[in-house]
Amino acid sequence: MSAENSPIKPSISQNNIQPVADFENQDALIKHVDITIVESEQRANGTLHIRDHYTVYLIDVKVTDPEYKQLQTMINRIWRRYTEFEQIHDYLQVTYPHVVIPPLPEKRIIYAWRKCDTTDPEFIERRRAGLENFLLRVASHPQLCFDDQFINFLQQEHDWRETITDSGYILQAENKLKSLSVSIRLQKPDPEIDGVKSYGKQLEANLGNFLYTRSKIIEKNYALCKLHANYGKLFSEWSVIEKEMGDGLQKAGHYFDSIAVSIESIAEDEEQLADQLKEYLFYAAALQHVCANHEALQRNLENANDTLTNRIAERGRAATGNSGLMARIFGTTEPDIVRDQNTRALDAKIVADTRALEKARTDLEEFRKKACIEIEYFQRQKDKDLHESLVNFIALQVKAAKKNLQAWTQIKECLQNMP
Amino acid sequence: MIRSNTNAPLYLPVIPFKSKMASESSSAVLDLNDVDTTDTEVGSVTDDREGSPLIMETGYDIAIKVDGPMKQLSTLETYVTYRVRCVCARWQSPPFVRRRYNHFKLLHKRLCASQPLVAIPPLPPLHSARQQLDRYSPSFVAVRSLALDAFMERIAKHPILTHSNDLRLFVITPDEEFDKVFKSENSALNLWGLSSALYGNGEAKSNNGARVKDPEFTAAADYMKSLQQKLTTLCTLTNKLYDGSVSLSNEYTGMRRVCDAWGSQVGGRSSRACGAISAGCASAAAARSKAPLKYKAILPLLAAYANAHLEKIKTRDALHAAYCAGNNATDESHNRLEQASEALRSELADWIPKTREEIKTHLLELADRQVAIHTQSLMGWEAALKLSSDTDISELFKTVSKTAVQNLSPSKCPMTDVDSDIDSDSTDRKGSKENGRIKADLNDNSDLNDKNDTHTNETADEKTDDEMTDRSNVKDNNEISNDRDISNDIKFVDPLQNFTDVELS
Repeated sequence: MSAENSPIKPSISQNNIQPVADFENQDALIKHVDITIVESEQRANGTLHIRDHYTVYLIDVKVTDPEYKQLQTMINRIWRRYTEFEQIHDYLQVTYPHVVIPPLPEKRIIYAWRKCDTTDPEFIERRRAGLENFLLRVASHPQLCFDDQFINFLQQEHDWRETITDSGYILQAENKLKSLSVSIRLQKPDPEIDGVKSYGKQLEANLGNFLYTRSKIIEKNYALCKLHANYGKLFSEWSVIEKEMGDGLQKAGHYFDSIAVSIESIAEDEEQLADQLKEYLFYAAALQHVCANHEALQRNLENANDTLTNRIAERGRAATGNSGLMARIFGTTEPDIVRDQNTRALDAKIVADTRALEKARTDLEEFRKKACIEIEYFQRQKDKDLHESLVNFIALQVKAAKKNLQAWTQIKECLQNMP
Repeated sequence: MIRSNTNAPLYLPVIPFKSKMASESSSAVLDLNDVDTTDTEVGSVTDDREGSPLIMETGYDIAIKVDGPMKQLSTLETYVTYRVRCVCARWQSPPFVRRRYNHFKLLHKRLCASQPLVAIPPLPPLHSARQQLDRYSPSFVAVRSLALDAFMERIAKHPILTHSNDLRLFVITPDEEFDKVFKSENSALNLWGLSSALYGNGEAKSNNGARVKDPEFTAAADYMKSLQQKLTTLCTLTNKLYDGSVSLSNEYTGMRRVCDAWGSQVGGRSSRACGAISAGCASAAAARSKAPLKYKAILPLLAAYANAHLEKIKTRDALHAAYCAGNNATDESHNRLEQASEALRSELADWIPKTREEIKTHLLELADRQVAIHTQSLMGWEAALKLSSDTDISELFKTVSKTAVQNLSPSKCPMTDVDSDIDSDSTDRKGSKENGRIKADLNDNSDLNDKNDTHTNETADEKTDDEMTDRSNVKDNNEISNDRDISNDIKFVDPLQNFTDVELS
């Protein structure tokens, strides 16, 4: 991570932890550039098989701040595909373990309620929006946005993949994965971090349930509204054979058709809301990641502590010449010189261990401080966003109910006006 | 009670109908049509209750009502009886009698036999094999009861059938004597009916080849056929509609549970939003939970009735063909033809307007119900909207555990008094806007803030407004101006700008 990319030379050094309040006052890339994902395209891998086609997205970066000289060109356009987004995301996750990394949109479709494929134009459009969102979020984060690799991601045309792989993040990621997969049992788990972790799990569960039931509802509602199209057809046909009732039936038929049509836009809108909620579903996972990282550090600390304690005990035993099995059975067997040697060696090791312990402790504390700020910031953001999403959900329901009510009132009127 | 103790049947009330009967809704929007369909007398052991009063409609001197189904055990079998009440100016009838389905069948047969030229209103269908298992299910019995009611009503209002002796006997005969009275005459009539049927059929069959198309009745025949089709389709669709509604109602209940669970685990605004959604779901579910039954009875009957007319027309056509074939060009067959034609004409002239009225009534009922459903849902959701968007300034963020907030805030975040006035709110917002919610894709308004313009627009937008305005700058946090309309047809209605962000600064 280099702060050189920021035009504002940091009086804020990496280690100076800003209070949360100033978080937003820090500089971020977003203040100097505009990032959008303009369009998407299908590319083929050389073969003509449909499965070897993949979609690329065009990232458009415009520098809006004339003073900002860090980016190479004022306007930059670059094509990236989803896997490359994944790469930068994983890299960020490994490089900034204390930050709640913004998530990518879903790789595979979850909570689908109608047959959908990753090659559907609708899905591609939603993914485009999600990826744009991802970029904007990263660009707004004061630390993430000035990362070299991220800047490269936005600019570097050729061989970006090599560049990012060279950073060695994959190895780090694998290591981390290994260490995380070992279930961590701490002696003294940090209650706060634990709280955050369980909150993250809860949030994941709740959002998951909500998304699931929502998908069921929209599925049934959709089918129901489509049924109205049949009504429309029936009424139209019926109006042909009736003399006096014909007009009324015909008009009513039109309204039925309108109901069937109206559900499409509502479904689309709701899908966008669902995407927002899915983002937070993944965010919850990222939050748990941060907690897990903290736990890993804490375990390191505890291990270091244990090592030191053992070493001291060992040294104690060595000093009295009681190390070794023979000594325990027969009493002191070693000559003094050997004993002294051993003791001094162990002393040196103890010093090293103590230093390691101190380092682990400071690491942990630093991490904790930084993480807590990040978490707090995340919580605020999440609260606001989720509340907004939920309110919009309600608003959408109101809109749908109004539409239906309107249509049916009209239908009733038509029927009433029949002779 | 008219009952004597001949076979001392046991009175076992069927399961109370009230909960299942047609369109029981508490919504005030429903009109009074629903009064007819609720069966209020079921479940009583004694027959004494009057039930809804029987009133003759204008222009008619007779009114019949069938309701009050009841299970009856006799030595040989168990069956359901229905209470038939009648008031008539032409004859003296007991307050009510009890009839079972077979009795209705008998009446139908006798009417068919005695009035061969008239299409008799159809009966509700017999059990299918599958339904045998379901014979006493409340909904099935209720539907049948409604159908029988319609059956009797049609007969009573029919200009010819109302004077039929069979009808009179049917309504007047006390229960114990009924079998004797109807059965004894039946055997004689049976033969007669049988023979006349054979007689009639013989004529028709011999002239299958020559199809004489009489324009007057062809149109009617086509109409009947189409009408039958339409009514059947309507019934099927309505079935699906209500089934779908009920299942949707279940899903809403599911979401309500989810939101309740979520709301209880989280605090602050999100909790209120969850609670609001939960309430909205509850009312949406309630609106759709009941499915009416009346249409199930009536629509198939009307379809069958149209079919009956179709059959009569065909019979008449057969007569006509026979006549035109010339083999039996006697006066007699000509008379028969004329009779049939006349009967048909008057029948159709009477039937079509009546049926039209009935269809219209039913469609209106359907529409009313839907209007009620959506009104109730709308009210629920609007209330939810209000509930979730009300600012609650005294509410702290409680998403992280309290201890965490307290641990964090004192040293690092100087907390401002939460009851901040608008000024400090807007200054807060100024700070927070930089990294606010990034939803550029959802904004299709091109007047989105440029980075430099965030602040002024915000305060303007935070006006509380109950109406649905187009989404303006709710997503005003981002300074990403998204000039492109990504998807122009997605008009996100921004409900309330009511939520002033309360943020710790």
